[in-house]
Amino acid sequence: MGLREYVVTRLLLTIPMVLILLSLVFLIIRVIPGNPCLLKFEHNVTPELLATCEHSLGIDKPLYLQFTSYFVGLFSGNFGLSMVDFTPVSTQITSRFPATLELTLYAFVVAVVVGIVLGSLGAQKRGSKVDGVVKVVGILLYAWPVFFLGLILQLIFGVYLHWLPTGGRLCAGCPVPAGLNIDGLQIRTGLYTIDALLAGNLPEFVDAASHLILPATALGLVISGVFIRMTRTNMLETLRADYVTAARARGLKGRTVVYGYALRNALLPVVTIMGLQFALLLSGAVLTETEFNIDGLGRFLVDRVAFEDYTAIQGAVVFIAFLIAIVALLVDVAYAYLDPRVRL
Amino acid sequence: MSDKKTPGFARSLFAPFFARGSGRGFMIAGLVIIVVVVGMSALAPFLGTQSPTTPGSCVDCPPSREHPLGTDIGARDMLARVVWGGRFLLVVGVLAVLICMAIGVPLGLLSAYRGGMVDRVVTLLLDSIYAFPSLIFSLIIVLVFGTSVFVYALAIAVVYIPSYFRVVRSQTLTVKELPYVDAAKSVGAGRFATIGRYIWPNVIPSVVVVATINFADAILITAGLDFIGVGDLLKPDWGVDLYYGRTAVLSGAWWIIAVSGLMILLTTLGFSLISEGYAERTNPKLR
Repeated sequence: MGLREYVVTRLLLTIPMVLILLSLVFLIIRVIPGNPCLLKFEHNVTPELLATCEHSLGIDKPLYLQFTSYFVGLFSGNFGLSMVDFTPVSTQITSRFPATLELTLYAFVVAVVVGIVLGSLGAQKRGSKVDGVVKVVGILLYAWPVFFLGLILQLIFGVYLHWLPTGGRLCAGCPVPAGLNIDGLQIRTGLYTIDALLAGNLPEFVDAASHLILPATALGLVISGVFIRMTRTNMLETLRADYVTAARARGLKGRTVVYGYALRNALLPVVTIMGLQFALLLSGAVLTETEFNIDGLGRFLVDRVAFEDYTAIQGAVVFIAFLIAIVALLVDVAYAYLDPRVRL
Repeated sequence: MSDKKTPGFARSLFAPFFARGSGRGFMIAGLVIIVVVVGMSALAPFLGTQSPTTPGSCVDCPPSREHPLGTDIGARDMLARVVWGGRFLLVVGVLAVLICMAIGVPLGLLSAYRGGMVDRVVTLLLDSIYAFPSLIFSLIIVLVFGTSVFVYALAIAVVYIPSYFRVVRSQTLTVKELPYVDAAKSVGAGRFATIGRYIWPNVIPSVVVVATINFADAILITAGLDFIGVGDLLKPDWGVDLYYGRTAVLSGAWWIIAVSGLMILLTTLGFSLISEGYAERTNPKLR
């Protein structure tokens, strides 16, 4: 199978998976006991007002019609109206998502760096005390609840040492970074650190980055447990491979063999778990954003849960489902590109 | 006595805990931690603690003679809350693992053994759940169906059944092609005998690894849901303690979160250690 055929097959497989997940989400959320309009007006409501409310949310139609309009809406980017403030859910999601993206990106960098450094260290010193420590650290980080790690970091670096802020994305009352300005046209990514850099405003960048250090470290360290383990295991295998022995026999320097041959090939399978790691990052982001008062998608979800805003919850979950599907697809295609054996 | 042998699967299940060799240290450490945590939680009513839910007179007080671990913002004794706070989490964990095993394992065995269209459909169905963020999925289920122990267990089981299924399925696919399975079939072993007596014992080690990790994750998810305030906030629970301690921590009240957080960590660590040790024992590549 060529690369193109592989991509097409993989893409075709993604469609039913997304559809199954979306139907499941619809079914679960529409099983909700009670009428959201009654909840909104706290039961003292005229029948006319109730009917208008139900009509505006589309819940007066039979279930199968709701289901079809839900699907048609989704694929045209219409996620419905919030049951709390009656604004479009899609704009709320797009305004919240950059914060989550920024947090997960930095956390991912932390996880990969810590994972690769410790994992390859352990594999090189296989069976030694260092290796034992690496293994224990890997297990400990995996087991550590991300919210507990976050609280500890807040307590140490925020409350006791006053080095870093314990919440939010910017200093209180500070303006949002301007982004890139091309002939009066503002281009904003919504990622504050990037926008500050694009605007060339260094103090703003430092401020945004300092707000990210604690949450990204907490989330990244917890995720790194899996990376440490994967890197170590894979590298143990590649270090035993014939081509590594051959490279050593040819008199290549130890460092070149370890990093240029063994580590490079050990990292290939690590790519495959990145899709799953992304799911883990999103779960962790829900907890981390709540803890650090970051206005992202995760906190949006938690806030809306408190209000029982089912359209918003459904919208956020659907958005996450799409995101996961796209990342999984990209990861698989990248892997197939890197390792031709996958395409067999 | 020789005819009263331990069934094959039980022997291969527990033997790795006692035999010498790599991974033993991790398994023993994990087992000790779990025994202590479970013992404390099970014996909570007999340990003579103060009430974990009735407020005292001291609000948000640091550790003192009367309250060795301080009190929380609801003036409840933290020592009592630590002792009582694991019961809900542990019950959820046990139930979730049982449900997952009861559904995921047979489904994986049968699906892989039969193959064909059924296998493909089941795999596709479960794969679509597999990649979804577990905490978010559980959050929705708990939100819609309530905060009882069973809903929690079910919410976690739904997300983890695919993990069991995948592991069991791939293991079965490898094992069912081995010559001894063919040999068994050729001397007349039926489908269920083949699966139960010849394939299942070879799948056990990977199920143990998944189950222990599943247990640790169940604790993390349940405590996480409590931490964001989704669960029943009236029960004594380590996750709920962290929920209440979240704001208090910013004024330096470390005692509300420290020990409860440590208990969650210890519990998940115990299961992770067993998992790692067991994996190392049964998979030489990890050593």
